[in-house]
Amino acid sequence: MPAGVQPERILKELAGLWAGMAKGDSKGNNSSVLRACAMTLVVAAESDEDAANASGTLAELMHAHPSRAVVLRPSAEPGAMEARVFAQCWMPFGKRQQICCEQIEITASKDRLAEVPGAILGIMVPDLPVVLWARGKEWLSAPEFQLVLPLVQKLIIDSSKLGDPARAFSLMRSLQSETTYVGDLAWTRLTALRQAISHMLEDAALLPRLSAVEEIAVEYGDHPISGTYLAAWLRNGLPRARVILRRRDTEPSSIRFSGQGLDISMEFGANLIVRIDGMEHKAALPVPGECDLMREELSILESDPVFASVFETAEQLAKGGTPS
Amino acid sequence: MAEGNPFQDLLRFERRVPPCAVVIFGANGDLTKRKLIPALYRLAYERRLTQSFATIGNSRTAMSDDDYRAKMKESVKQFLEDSPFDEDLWNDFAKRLFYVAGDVGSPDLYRAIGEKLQMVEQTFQTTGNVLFYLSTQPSHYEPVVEQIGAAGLNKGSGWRRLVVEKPFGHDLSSAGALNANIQKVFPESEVYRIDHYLGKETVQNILAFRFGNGIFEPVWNRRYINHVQITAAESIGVEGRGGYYQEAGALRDMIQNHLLQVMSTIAMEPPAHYEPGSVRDERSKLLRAIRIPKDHEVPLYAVAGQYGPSHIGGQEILGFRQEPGVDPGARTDTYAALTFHVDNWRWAGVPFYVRSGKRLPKRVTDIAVFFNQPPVSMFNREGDAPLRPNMLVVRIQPEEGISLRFLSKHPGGGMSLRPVSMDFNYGSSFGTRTPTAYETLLVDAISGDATLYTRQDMVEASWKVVQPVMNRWATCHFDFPNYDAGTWGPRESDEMLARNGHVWRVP
Repeated sequence: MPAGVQPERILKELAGLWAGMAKGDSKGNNSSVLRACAMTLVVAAESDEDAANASGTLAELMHAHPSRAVVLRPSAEPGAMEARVFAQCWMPFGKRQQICCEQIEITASKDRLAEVPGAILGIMVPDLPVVLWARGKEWLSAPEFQLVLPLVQKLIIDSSKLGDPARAFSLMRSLQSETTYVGDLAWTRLTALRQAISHMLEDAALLPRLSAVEEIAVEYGDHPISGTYLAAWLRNGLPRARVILRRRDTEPSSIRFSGQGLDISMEFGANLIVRIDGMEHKAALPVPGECDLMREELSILESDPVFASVFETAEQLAKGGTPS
Repeated sequence: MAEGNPFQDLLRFERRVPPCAVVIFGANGDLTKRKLIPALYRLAYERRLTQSFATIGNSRTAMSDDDYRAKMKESVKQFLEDSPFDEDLWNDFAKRLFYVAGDVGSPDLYRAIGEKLQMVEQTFQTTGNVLFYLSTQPSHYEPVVEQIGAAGLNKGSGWRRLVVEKPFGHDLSSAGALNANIQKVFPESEVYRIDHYLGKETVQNILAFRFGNGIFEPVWNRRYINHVQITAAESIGVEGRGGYYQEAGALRDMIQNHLLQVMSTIAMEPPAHYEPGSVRDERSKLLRAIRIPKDHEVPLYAVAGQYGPSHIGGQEILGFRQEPGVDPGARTDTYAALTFHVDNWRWAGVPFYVRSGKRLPKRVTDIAVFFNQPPVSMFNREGDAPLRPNMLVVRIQPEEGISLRFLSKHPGGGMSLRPVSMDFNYGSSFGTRTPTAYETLLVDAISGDATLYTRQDMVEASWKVVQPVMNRWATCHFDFPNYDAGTWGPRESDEMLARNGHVWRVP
């Protein structure tokens, strides 16, 4: 059985890594690197393949959120527990210096998971926020994981991987605390759509008429959790309107606001098409990649009042209740 | 508007502009093609423009709306920075893009613009808000504003604002006259004088750096700061703008506006709030505290230069007087360096050296703050060169960021110190795209946020500071050219600093 992961050794290796990079190559070329770090980002991957995918996203993400990234990689090999350190570097276009961030990869088998929190504790960057990105539900249910949560300012999950809305929201509720905010990529995926809807409705002539909305019907396709979030957000915006949420098997998803003298319909897929009083408006809805979603979530490390209130409404909608 | 929107999400949504029509005078000019229309398109790309938005361009050239759209489409494709061109989005944007041909001196033009404004207001619900943008040659500013007023376009059901590009006059009296004439038609609160330097992210970051952190302000004064150097260097010459430039020169073109605004940002007192009135009050106070040199002091505090021909990298470089469109006997300053003193409690006795020039060795704009030496040099042995003082450099372009130079022990035995630099690279540390200055400033003007725009008193205060230098230089017979293209300017500039025991930093 390997000896395990010693934080002091990892930190020493990191120091050696930076010292080596500062010296330049064997030909004496000084590579001139800039070290950047704004947080510790712990990434809990589900598998080898998932860890490889996460590394790709991290490399891209570091440009906007330079971090000490700690990637936890589960291993099927009993007794496995090891760590390696390396740097993620890139040369910004037209610049002379490389920008580098640290990455530490910890591989641990299930029987050694208990050692992981201690290792993370020892290698967090002092005085900077710690964010935990749990890429699957396996980790969330591990008891060892609960030891890490109090250290974390923000936990980022993707509830679309957690099953039906009621179960997902219940798990998310259990992970929240006074010191840990929970961000959900299923919510982040809706930002472009929400922004486009908000902007379309911000029309000076239309805004006062929204108080006439009596019913909001949301028909949502493949992602019930996103559909629930969307319905909850609309419900919070117009609390007097009745919200109907239906699954829809075919694209595109749709929203309809109806009330006296008012009929606004929206369809969305690759574009948002809004029909108001016979006029059609269109806005592109680019599909955000994982990196875009994470970039947005990492830029909000404090409380997010809109999401907090939508989450409460979504919980009630998922339970089949009428939000108060 | 946003306050009333129940779906607003300030943390996650981009700030968006309210409904309005933008009328651009000089719509066929370089600024419109290179900056304004690409900036508006980029705002549309980021969904920051509402559907209730329209642009009306004017110039003398006869063109249909479609011709103008085709022309602007090519410009956007050519000048859009860091963004893809999206055909569908362009088509949507172009539906709201119109053109009115006409002479800016003719009342007919303003009748036609008025009709077009009515049309876009009805079609796109622009709610009567209109932003007039003067992107014409400066001699047209006053006639355009006068005609806008005569046609009654300065009043309507919504707000009416005016954006004025620099130069705001060519001296103190013309700036005063321009301001007076503009204010006959638009109140000062609706006049937005654009200085695109203030829209640059890094210039805005100076405010964040100074007033968002607690560690810099305590040392940001005469007790700790020895002097400040502000450099805006260009490696290029006049690039076909010889005719314009020979009338302007470095002092008018750069120092009177951009660099004095940068200096006011670096040296102003902390505003009570981050809102237009407070920030502009402090900038204005700083500009008014700059000592105005007396005529006989000008040679001590100001140096003019003009580049001569040279060879750089095997290429023959023309001197300024050999550039196309330039008078062979031109006395224009292609280089200007000035020493400013700020007569207030914070800065008394601290010189601010400001220089700008063309055909210097590289393109760079930065601010270097030199701190005082420690009172006792305990590490210096007899005969050693003096230790280098701490220096903070704010880089505005091209590699935006902040560096702090301090001394560190050289590894090994003994106590030998060497300077090291701690770097914060703004563009790289936040690798996301930053908006161009014009995107920022257009959104601000349409949203009614004048924080990054200059006010009448600021413009006039900065003219007052440089006017004695301009007066003196107008009567001087300089021995031009006095520096070779590709060098850091005339010897007299070095001598100006040497008189205070200072040396220009090589950026």
